[in-house]
Amino acid sequence: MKKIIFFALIGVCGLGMLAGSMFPDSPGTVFAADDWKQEFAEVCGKTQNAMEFTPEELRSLINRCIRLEERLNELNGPQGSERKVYATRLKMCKELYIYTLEYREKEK
Amino acid sequence: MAKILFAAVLFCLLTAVSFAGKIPDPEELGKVVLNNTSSRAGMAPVVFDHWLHRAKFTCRLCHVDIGFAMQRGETGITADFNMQGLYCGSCHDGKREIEEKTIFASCAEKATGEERKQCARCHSRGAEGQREYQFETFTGNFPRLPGGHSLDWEKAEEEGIIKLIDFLPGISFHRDPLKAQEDFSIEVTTWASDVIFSHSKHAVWNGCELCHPEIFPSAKKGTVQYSMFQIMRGEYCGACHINVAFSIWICNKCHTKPVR
Repeated sequence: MKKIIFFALIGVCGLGMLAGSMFPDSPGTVFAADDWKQEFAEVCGKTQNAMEFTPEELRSLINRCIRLEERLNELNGPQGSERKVYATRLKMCKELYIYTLEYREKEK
Repeated sequence: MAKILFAAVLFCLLTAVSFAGKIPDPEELGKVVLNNTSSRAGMAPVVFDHWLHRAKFTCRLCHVDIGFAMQRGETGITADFNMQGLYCGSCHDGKREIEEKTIFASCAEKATGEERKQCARCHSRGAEGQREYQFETFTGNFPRLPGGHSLDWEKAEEEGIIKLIDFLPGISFHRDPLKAQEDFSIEVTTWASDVIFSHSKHAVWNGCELCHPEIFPSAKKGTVQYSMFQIMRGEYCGACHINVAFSIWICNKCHTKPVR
């Protein structure tokens, strides 16, 4: 009986982790020191495919851009000077996705 | 009859304007003089030659990946940023190799003697001495557009005279290849023929985010009417085609569709 409860708890924990990973847009995403650059590359590296995305995917990308903007605002020290450059790039990337979403919605 | 007369008058007016504002010298096209802080620091203003850089790099690399604004004075370049490897310093850091050549470092805390000569490579407005690359020598074998005046950058790339770099390690990130875009026609409501716009030609050099939405904000084709007056003021196509790309005065480069 104890074994069953133990494995059931492990199963529930595992399912919870799986569910969490399926919702990358969940609030409170925290970026480690340089992970934001990786996220940046991942999000803004898709601009060439913008027209291929569904409205839901575009909204997800826009949300990720917004969270990246918040992260950029926290940058200090040597990375603070990079903030200006990346903020410009991020703005272009986010605005393209917003533009594409608007196009998609007008198509309907 | 009235329509023909109107068209003739318009044509004459446009011709007069076109002679008055002649097609810029290709060497001068896209020349940018930067003086955010140079004069205050006792340096000559910086002269940036677009022709030299566009022979090496795509527009997107500089204006998206490196972050240069499309309008003079909007980027806010400083020596500090350059020395930190941003903006001009993205390439001009004294270490980066492009085409097997180490790119000279821009800006220094203190430059004395011989080092000051290096400053003059960029801080050259009104300064004595010759720049390393001269337009006539550099572009001697470049094809020219009809009329023989302006450079044909597109043909230069097709013929392999220039090979544009679109990726800078440490600055750019990998992008999936752009899906082929179809050309489309822009209806012209005046006497000129319709414009055939090539999305693919523009996107290969600019990507998507350089034009959309900052230069072309409308998400639906046909909702915005572009006029030559707006274009001549630097809006829409004029953002590039009065400063850097082929001049808007070469009408048949865009108005290529046969007259109805």
